[in-house]
Amino acid sequence: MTVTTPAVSVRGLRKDFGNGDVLAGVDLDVPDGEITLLMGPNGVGKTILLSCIAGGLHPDDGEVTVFGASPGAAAESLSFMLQDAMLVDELTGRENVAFFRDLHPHSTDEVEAILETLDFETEALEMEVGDYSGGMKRKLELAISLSVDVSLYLLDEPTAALDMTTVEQLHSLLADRREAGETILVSSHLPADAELADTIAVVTDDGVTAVDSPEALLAAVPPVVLAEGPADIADAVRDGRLFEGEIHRRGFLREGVDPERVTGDEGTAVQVREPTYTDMFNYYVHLRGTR
Amino acid sequence: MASNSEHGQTEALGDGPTAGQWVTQTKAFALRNLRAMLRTKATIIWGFGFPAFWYFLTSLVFLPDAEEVGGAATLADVKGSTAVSLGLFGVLTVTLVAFAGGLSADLTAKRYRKLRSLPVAPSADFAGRYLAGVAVAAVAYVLVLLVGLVDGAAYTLRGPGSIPVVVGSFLLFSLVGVSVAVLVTRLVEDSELVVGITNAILLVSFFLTGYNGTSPALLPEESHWLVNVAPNSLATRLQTWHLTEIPATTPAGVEQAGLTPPALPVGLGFVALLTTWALVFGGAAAYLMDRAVYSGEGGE
Repeated sequence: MTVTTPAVSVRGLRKDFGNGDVLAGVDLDVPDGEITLLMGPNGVGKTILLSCIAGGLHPDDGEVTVFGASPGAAAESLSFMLQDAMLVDELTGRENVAFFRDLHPHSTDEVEAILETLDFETEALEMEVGDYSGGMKRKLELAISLSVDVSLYLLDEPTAALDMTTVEQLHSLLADRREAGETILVSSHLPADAELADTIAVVTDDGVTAVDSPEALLAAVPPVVLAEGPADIADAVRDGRLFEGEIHRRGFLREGVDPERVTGDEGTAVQVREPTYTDMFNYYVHLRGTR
Repeated sequence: MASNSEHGQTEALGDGPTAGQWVTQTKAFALRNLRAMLRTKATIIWGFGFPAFWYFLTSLVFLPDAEEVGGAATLADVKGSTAVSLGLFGVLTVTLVAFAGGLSADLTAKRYRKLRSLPVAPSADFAGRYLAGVAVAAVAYVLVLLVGLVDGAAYTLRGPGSIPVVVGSFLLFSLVGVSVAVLVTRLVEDSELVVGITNAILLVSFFLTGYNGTSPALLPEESHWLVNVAPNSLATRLQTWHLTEIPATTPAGVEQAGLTPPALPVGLGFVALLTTWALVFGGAAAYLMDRAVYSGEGGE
């Protein structure tokens, strides 16, 4: 049996900004050479966790090691994309790129190639970033961070504000990096990002509450009950908890309930089907979120 | 892209920037902040426009006639000293207020979470920001001197030694400005408060020292010594001595020039005093950039 040292190890991480713990005793191992997804809703501390791993914030308690060293000592081995906290609006895209290129000794000149992959019109590099859309800013932040030739990439919500085509292009780009042996830790609340990951760590208010492969996590999610119209399915779903969608209400099939017997009244549509990654997100974050 | 082995996580760990990287990082911070400052309307209006306008207003309304000061040549010198005073007011506007605004914006926007994750030397950050402040401040300073020149101000170097004193005092005073900006930003952090407090320091220091030491008579007599000690008035009076022909002590007939008493700071000891101010404030600011902003969590 081969035991590989994780690229990132977090033990008992606690972080408090004076309003109660944002992170209260987080444990996490990020396997070397894989893509790990921190999946969780907004506000549970994913960005804080990434910032602590990157060395941008210092833990109040606990330990973070990156390749066996402190984050500060490993600064040349990592690149951190922090959404909405990198770019200066008064500078052009190109000037922002030049700034970060000069700060990291392993910067490369791949920014424009990455931007082209992400469907970013490189002429826009001459515009001031203040005139960019949210998606353009995200692409530039990504390109700057991924153009650094390091072993570990920490990406904070890289797919937020991106259209689905660009999300797929980014997934492809990150998969290539994984093939090259690099380690990638991504935070997201977009279920589609689950397809990218080798490992998913579910982050809730209680910390990291589940860690496994996407397939294993998905396999543990109960079948989903979907209801359209006024059908009352509360008794058929776990904890009576319903998730409202644009068309359907949904819940997770209660243990012991026969799917064949879950039907609606006349004029309603009720079905039971296998869960998707969106359901997986709801299940682990909202239903099974607390330990 | 290189694989892990090419970037041996261990070979890259903890070495810190080399001298070459430090220069590159300093340049990066300097260019970034220079560009940002020059594209900020407040810098243009308050750093460039206001001191020049104030000079113009002062000359038009408050400066005496040539007859009152003993002739046109003396009036030209008085205008020269006024331009130096308001030029250094512009320098402090840029190095204190605009600089603090930029640093505070970075802290408020949580950009230091990213910057702390990079192998950046805190001293390169501070040095780059200082150089940017100096470059913009130089424009503000020269602009007022040029307006003065158009208005009839006379500038005359006392000798070859005046050049290093004028340039040096400008650089030292700029260092005091950016250092106070770092101290205020670190103590307050809230960007709106930072702008308010730095503006208050700018104006209070100007008026409390008799318009940067050009009108010490505005102070109680027992406090006249202050104008040759406070960094803003000391820098102004040092430069006035080296850039105009105003005598160091009051000769008969030129009392209205207003600069003396006390005598202008002509000795090297005053240069040393300004250097001390700059080193004390600069040292404290560099320490704060390192300990509070980078090793600490400035902005959180």
